[in-house]
Amino acid sequence: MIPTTQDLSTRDAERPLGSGLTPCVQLRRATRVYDLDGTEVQALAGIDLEIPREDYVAVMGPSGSGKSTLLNLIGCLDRPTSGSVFIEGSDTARLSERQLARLRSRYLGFVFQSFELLPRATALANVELPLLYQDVPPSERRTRAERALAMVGLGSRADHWPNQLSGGERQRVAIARAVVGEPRVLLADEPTGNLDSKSGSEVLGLLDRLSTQGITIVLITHDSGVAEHSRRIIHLLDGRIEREEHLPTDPASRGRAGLEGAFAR
Amino acid sequence: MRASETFRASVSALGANKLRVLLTTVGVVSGSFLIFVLLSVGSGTARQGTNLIRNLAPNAVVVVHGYFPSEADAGSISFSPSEMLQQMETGGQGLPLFGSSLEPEMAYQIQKKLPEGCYACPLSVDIKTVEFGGASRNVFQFATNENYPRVRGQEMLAGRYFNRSDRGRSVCVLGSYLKERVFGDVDPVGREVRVDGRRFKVTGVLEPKGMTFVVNNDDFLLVPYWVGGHLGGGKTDGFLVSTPSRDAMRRVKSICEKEMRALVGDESYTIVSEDELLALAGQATRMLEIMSAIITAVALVVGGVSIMNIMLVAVRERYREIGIRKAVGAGPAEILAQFLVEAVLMGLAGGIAGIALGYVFIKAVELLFDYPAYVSAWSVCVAFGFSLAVGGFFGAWPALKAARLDPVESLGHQV
Repeated sequence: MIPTTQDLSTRDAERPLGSGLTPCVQLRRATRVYDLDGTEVQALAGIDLEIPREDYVAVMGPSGSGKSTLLNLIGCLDRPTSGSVFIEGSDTARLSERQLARLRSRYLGFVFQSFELLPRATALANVELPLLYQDVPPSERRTRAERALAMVGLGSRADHWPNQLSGGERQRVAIARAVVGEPRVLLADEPTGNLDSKSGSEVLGLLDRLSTQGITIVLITHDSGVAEHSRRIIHLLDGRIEREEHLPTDPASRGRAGLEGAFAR
Repeated sequence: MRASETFRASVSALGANKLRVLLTTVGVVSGSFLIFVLLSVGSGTARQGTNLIRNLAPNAVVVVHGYFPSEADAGSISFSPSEMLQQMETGGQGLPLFGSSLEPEMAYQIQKKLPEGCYACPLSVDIKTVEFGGASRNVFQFATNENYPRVRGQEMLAGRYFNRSDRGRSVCVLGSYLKERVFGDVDPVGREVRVDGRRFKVTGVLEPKGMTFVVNNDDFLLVPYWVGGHLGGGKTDGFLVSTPSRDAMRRVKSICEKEMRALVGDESYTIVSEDELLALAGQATRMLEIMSAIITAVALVVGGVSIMNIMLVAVRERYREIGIRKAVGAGPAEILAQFLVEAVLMGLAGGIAGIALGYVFIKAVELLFDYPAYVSAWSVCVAFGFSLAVGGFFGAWPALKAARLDPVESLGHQV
């Protein structure tokens, strides 16, 4: 039996933040060094970051600044070279591949720039995929996947194949897939990067709505217009957090607020 | 992930590459075909061989002149043509065809020593031409005595068997098939046939015994040993003794050994019992099976390697799919299972196809060549099991590779 993250967190002696709520995501001096043909490349050079529940964080920075690496660490697709990453209180370095998969399955949802739908599966089958790995029974899987597709406005496209859908529609299917398992955290890597502005704003509208429904969102973008949808923008440079800006929490003022709330870290 | 879902995902992946799957499974198909056919033909042959031995006489003990190789000295026997020729010329030990020192009358000496229910007859084989009217046929002629029907447990279809009152006369008994071929509807009893030109009076026809393997048990001629004129002159090739039980058979064997030593003196004959002959045949069958196993192992390894090759290609092609599945929560075991099931399914499909083709092949051979193959559950299981195992064995490494893929790397992989 795979232990749940609750089991894991109680086992975890080094429990982060003794007081108050455990943050959803916590990084402590996390580094990630790649070995590229014998040359060490430091993608992340010691990141300290806490993302509380229901936060909406945008990560910005030039390419090579470590945005994707950071997202991979949070998404348990990768583990830090040193330092620690805690997801729901569990130190990912101490989890087996199997337990990491379990964590991804239960707590995390991914949205990628290039959608990453399975080409040989219908929209519905794509959305059902995470539930497959959670051992949800077929009838419930179908109901939940249909609900998720309806939520992204594609209820009528359930039987379409990915190549029959537009880019924006594909990304909405991907979002439905990411949230169908009711994750705590939604990780989006340039979700609007391959979309026209209309489809892009539809996708962002979806993310905003999910945020108000209580999902924690971590979003990578290099578009400040996209980043303004968040409450907090983390600027990365050379694998470090260069600065962090907090945006007004009032959704109505977002987008207009621009960089006014910015302050140097 | 549930097993049924793993299965469905694998089937769908295979379905997307039908031609490739077809080509890949050819190796396993031929392997499973070979296993199935060789085992079926092998066990068919073995069964028929066993039947041939069993058909000699009930719980038979055979005395045959010449030195008959036993298991123990199988290694020291030479099969070189020149040595065989030499043995033929010198009438030496080693070939039970020529130079017998056994007298047909010895059968009566043996018979006297046998317990109740046991019968002995001499048996000497030759090939003769039987003629009647316009018909003629080349057949085996057995020279024996009046005990023959009791030894073989065979009744008469018509007329009577020759007996001691026929002593000195040229009489013969026909197998039922020979009678049909030479006499047709004519009743042969009391009529004369020519055997190699010599006149023989037919006293009767034996009841049919049917075919054993490729041997027709009813296509021969029986003559009393006293008519002579067969290969080996007045000698006989050996004696056939029937016994009522396996216990009696072993007892009779030692009786024969003792009696023959007293009668002949030297060791120019061999005595074997049915169970020893069966053991020898079993050994030959096992050799055949080992050879088949080696041949088919090669075919299956080739099939397995092609499965492995295509699965490695499949893993490479589906890096992104693997990455996606891992990102949405698939663990290593689930990825492993998916690819392993694909490989096993290919093995399985190949196995089933091979067995099906093999079955058709065997049925065709049976029909065309009258060769009795024996399709046993065992050969089906072995062919099926091996195909399955090959899929699993050669699919394991690619599946393990897929399971161990780094999700970040596989998602970043450009197809």
